Amino acid sequence: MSAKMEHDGQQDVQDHSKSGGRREQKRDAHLVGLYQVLPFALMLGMLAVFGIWQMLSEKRAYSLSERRLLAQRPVPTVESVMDTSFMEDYEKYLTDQFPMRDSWITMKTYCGLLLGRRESGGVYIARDRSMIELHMPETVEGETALRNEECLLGFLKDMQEEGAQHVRVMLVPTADSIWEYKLSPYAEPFDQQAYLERFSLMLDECGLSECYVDVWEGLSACAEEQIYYKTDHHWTMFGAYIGYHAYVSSYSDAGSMPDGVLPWTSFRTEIVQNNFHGTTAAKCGIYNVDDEIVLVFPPWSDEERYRVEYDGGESESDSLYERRHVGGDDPYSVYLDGNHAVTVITVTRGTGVKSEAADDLSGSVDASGNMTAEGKPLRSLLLMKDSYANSFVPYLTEMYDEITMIDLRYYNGSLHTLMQEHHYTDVLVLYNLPNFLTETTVYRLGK
Amino acid sequence: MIFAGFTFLFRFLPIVLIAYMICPKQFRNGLLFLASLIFYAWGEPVYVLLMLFSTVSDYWHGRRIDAAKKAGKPKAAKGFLISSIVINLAMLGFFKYADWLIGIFNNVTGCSVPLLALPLPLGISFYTFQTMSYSIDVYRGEAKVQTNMIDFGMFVSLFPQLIAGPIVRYADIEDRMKDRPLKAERMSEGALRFAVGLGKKVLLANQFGILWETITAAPPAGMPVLTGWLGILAYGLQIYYDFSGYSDMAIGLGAIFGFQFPENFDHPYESRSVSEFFRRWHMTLQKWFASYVYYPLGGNRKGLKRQIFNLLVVWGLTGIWHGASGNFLAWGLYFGFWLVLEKVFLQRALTRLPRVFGHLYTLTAVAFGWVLFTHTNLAEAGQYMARMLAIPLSVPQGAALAAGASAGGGIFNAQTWYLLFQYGGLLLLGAVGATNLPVFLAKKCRLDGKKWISAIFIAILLLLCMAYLVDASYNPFLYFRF
Repeated sequence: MSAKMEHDGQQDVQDHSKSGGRREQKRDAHLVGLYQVLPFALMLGMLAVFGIWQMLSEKRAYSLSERRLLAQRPVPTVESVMDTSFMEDYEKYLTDQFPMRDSWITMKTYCGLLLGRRESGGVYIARDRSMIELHMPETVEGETALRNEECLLGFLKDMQEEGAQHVRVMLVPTADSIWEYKLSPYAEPFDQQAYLERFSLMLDECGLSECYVDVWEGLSACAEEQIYYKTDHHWTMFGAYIGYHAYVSSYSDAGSMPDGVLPWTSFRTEIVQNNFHGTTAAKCGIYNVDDEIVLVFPPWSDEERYRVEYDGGESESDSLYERRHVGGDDPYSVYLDGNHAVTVITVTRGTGVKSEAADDLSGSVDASGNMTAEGKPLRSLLLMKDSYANSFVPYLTEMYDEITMIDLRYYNGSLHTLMQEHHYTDVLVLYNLPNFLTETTVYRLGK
Repeated sequence: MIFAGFTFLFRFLPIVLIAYMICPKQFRNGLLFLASLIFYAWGEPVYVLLMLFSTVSDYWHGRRIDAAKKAGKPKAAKGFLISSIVINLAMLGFFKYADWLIGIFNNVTGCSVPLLALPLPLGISFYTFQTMSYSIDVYRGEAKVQTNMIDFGMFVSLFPQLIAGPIVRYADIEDRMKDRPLKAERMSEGALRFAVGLGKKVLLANQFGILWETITAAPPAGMPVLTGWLGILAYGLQIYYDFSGYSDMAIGLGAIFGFQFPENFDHPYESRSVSEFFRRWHMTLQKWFASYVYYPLGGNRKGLKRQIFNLLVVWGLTGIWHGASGNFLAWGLYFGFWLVLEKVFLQRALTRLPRVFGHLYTLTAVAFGWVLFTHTNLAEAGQYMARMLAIPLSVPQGAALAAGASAGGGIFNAQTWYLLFQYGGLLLLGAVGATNLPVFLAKKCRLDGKKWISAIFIAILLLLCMAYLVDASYNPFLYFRF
């Protein structure tokens, strides 16, 4: 093909030039022809090279950075061709399987930054390079939000009628509210503070004020700290510690709870990974900011043994931290192995049954034993949650002998039956606020 | 297939280009015809038959008109011409306007004639206009009859300009039908033009589209005044870059294949009157209506009253050509109104005022025009315009809650500034790019025509477009509706 074009280019030039020796002219013309065709050849070359690269490259089934399955090559059928769904799927396949998919996103974000756009893929890139997911009012507010609010209220009222004392709700604000000072002064994400104020008033009106756990106050007081990851939409272990503070405070006069919370410095911490890049980094494709994955060991955990049972026995562990996720695809799964429909944590204290000795050692732990006479755990928590709870639960082992975590996104059973069978002493609903308002499975609270 | 898609860019286009270059000359038209049919069928596997029917019909009519003329039977020739026009308009009317007319009929009479609910065949407004122009030109003696079915089929279906123009009249490319040598220089210019068009579409139009969508996500009643203006500025730039980008891609591809398509845009936002704006906006459509409607009606040769009538007819038709909906008719007549005013006195007044008045007047008139153009619901268009003019509107209660920050209207709110800062750089780039300045500077610095600069520019544009295309699930194409 190129020979032909060169030839044409050559002719072109020969038509126009009238001077110079014949042989020399021919050689120059050859070069000029090449030069003339350069832009076209480059365009064709780029399209062809990327096309062939796409064809030959190994096809991925899953995109880690996007957390979704990628489209695969569709197989045409008469039907799918006639209704053009094959063509649409083919376009999706080419887009999804385009070589170096993630690098293109990075390039796009930097182009935007060059033009002053700090927002990319729904993530705001703050000047301190925190990547903060934005929740806009129009996506958070709506039918689902109203329905979920109603479901939660109904659930709390039902619990109240049944005489349950220890029911709590923690709606955790996300980074775009607590860290609003890092955003552009004109950015107006969904006002989580106003929502939480309204929500707590609503609980007051229903006589449910003791259910409300005020996480906002504690988090906003620590807004200068690393309470959220810079590259992920979760709160950090430190953020969760503040949540734990708020949770314990809500039980401050409930007797059987620890009187106060130990200072952060009395907890042993272990940094297991210092190059964590989470979901918000993936969304805007910026990977030059690092986060730390920290494991936290409260003093009392030295005296505790855990049995963690996932999804009704599908897998088991003796630790709250799954270190195999360190450095892996989803390091946040270090905390309680990520999301499972059901996670049951059983806590035993001391070595074996000598609980009294163990209690003496750990000081503030409730002095009674682990089990009642019938062999049921003395204090047990039912926790309906999203992934924010995974880093929060490690702080709770002091208070409970058994913690049952239910992720309503994956749990299909009846909560009602579960509660009747198990007689949990405490109930907690913990979500990050925007997720609670937009998640479509919250209605299962009423099941 | 759309130009700014992976299937086209990384499969169809490289394969067709390489095949075209190695193909022997005598088969090139056949190859382009085949490629164009595949291109069209990729989006319209059924309606491709409709396009083929239109092709065969006008090919046959052209031959008959020519034969009748040569046999000295002008009446028969006219008969065939009318038959050709009727078939084309009937096709367009049936697929594009039937439901609209039925809806109006139902509204007026209270009947409930069921709607046809046919999807609009891709590009039908463009190819029926092209085939019609062929029959008329043959009748008028402005084009020679085409006696090769494949060549004619290639002209009708030619994929670079099939879906969104420019509207290429047969007479425009008649001389290139057979003899189109591959010329390196022309192909390189075509490549540059194509890359520029792709960049306009992907890097600018789509981004302005996102801004426009953000602004119109909330109901217009509570919108601050400045947000309204920012929105319509974004929309005006989106539609310009979308459409002129598509035309650039078409012209560029045409050049690569050896054609010279007519220009379609000439920096319209630089105009100093509405008449000038439409001499520089979608030029091929304006020329089509001028030579096949306006002048045959008498143009400006039969007195002012008749000219005003002619203008309104042409602009009513131009309006509904863009879509079968009341707002497009209103859009056309709105500009017809300005054109009449300009003919009567405004143009003369403008020439006496400083140039800036002409620019301001034109941009404002066009901005309000876009509001009509984009709102198929005329009531919403009215609300939007009211907010642009700072007329307070009562906000429905539910909407006020949902709109949150923007409830109550006012002149501006935090979102206005947020969007302005987020998109400021892009808007500036868009505004400058819509003028002659970049071309002027390139010439001034003697950068134009340097092939290595073209090559670097193409490479950068293509890489950026790939990044934005990979990133964007957001890739709607505005002109598919027409």
